[in-house]
Amino acid sequence: MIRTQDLRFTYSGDQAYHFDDVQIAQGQTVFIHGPSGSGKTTFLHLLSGVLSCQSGNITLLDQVFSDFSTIQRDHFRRDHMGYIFQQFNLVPYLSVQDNIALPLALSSIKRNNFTGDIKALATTLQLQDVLHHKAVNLSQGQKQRVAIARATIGNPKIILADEPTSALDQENTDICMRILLDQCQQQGSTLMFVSHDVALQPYFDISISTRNLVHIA
Amino acid sequence: MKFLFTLTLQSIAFRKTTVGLSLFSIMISVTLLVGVNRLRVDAKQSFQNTISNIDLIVGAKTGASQLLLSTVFHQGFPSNNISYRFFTSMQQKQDVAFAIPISLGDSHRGFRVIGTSKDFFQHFKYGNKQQLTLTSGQTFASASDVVVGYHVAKKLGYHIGDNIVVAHGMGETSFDPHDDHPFTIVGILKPTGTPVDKAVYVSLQAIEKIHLENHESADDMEQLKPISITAMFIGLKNKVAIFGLQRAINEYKKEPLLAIIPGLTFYEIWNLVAVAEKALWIISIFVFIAGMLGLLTLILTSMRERTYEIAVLRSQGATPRQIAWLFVIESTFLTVVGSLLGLFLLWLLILAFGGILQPAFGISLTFPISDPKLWKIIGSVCIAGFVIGWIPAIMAYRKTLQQGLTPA
Repeated sequence: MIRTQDLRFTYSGDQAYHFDDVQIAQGQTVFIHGPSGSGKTTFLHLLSGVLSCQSGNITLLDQVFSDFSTIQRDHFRRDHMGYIFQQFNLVPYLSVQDNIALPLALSSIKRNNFTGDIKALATTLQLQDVLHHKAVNLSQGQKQRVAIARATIGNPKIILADEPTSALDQENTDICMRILLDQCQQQGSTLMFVSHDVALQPYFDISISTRNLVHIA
Repeated sequence: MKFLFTLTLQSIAFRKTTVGLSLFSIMISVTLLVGVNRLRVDAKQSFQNTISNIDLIVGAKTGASQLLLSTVFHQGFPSNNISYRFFTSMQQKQDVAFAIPISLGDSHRGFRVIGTSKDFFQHFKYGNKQQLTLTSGQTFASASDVVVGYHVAKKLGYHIGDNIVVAHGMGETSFDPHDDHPFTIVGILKPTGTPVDKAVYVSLQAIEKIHLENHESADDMEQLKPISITAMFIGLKNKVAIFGLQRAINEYKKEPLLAIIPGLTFYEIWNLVAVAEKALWIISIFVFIAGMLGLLTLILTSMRERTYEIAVLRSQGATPRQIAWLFVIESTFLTVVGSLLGLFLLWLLILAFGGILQPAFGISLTFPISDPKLWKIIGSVCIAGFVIGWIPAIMAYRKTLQQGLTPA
């Protein structure tokens, strides 16, 4: 479950964001859309602990995440979250297999949760032929599929996705959306997906516009 | 930790060009550091090994350094002579294994002429107890025979059977040549890398003969009894007797004599040149510091390139501490590999050029694999690599995840 209460954040000397309260049940898929600079990535960074809020509360999986220290947030993110970026953010010198397995190497909880095998996962994501290729040599669509595999491996309860389809063509967008939602559904993960592309709205259970979510002062 | 090590190796392999340059710089500085240190030790050793089995050098009373330099290194002049009678009395002493007479004062085209006996070729040893050997010919049998050092023969183009004349004094051009007494070269010594190569050896009788007024009347070795010699090298049967005999000679009443233990005097002379030795060492330390700064520069530069990679690792759950370790592991690993490559390069260099150094400069360079000092140096280098790695590590540790995820 994800719940925020009276969440406020200000970049140093810049505009102040005030977020409406949000409550998402476990396993729901949420689409947050809005134009650039409307605060959707800031909201995602607050939920992931990359940024810490100046006031208000964030409760994740029944724990007051906003009260955590930086190290506790790092550990929580490592063990219970999957993160997909706009720029794919793969480790360029690791193979596809090693990139996918990266969270398992870093988190014992994810390692214990993962009972399948990476080859089978790669086959589901149509990555079986490039499993041993370096990440740097992949196409855009393949890279994002690796990023999805990496974010969903080890059954994280929360998956955060920041404009993951913005660099993809329509065909790859459809493939990636389908794979991502399938994985979330299979694992019962909550998905928070932000994008400026309103056309993606039908894929999700809940849709929130930044016009309603974010108030900028 | 194993995961971090694997990750570091893969990252290094991905940046092989820049990492290769850094490894090269560490390799060169380690080669220089160990090489210069080795050269220092080996030069000292080779200096001390100019003679290796002489227990005492005896000459007329003078300074210890002067006696050693004039008799062993052919530098400077001995102040006086000692009687041949004393020499023979020493030869007969029970503790004395051998005594080699040395008679100086003449030269041949700038090279010293040394009057001695056959014992010189039999007993004199240099380097690691190596005996003098001849490339060709034999040692002198008559007062007209001469054996030349390797360098003399090479520089002056001498062969067996060539005739030469010696001159009085030490200059290259003498106004007092003993040209009425030509010598025939009967032997050429093999190179030793010691002053032996740069000298001409004749018998004591020959020295006497060229200084006689009437040379023709005295050609018999037996008849030419020397009266005095410049110095003598003594080898003892029992090393324990060294100090007793040294003291007895120094307190000898009939002649003012000085007996020195070559090793001790070598040490005293070497201390005079210790400043140059230290300077060399300091230079190589600076070369090493430059190499390590090169490594630091590489890692700091790579940090800019790796900001993104680090942010990815952080976003996937790597803690700041694990990220810091990546830099420390990289720095330590590169230093260890660079040091091993440096040692390997040094080994190759010694293998390739060691054989040339010995005869040319008298320095017998050895690969010091079992020298504890070498491993002390390598250990210090690796510790330096480990310590240096903490600079980028702390910088990376302080970088927030937000900084890495926001495009610059």
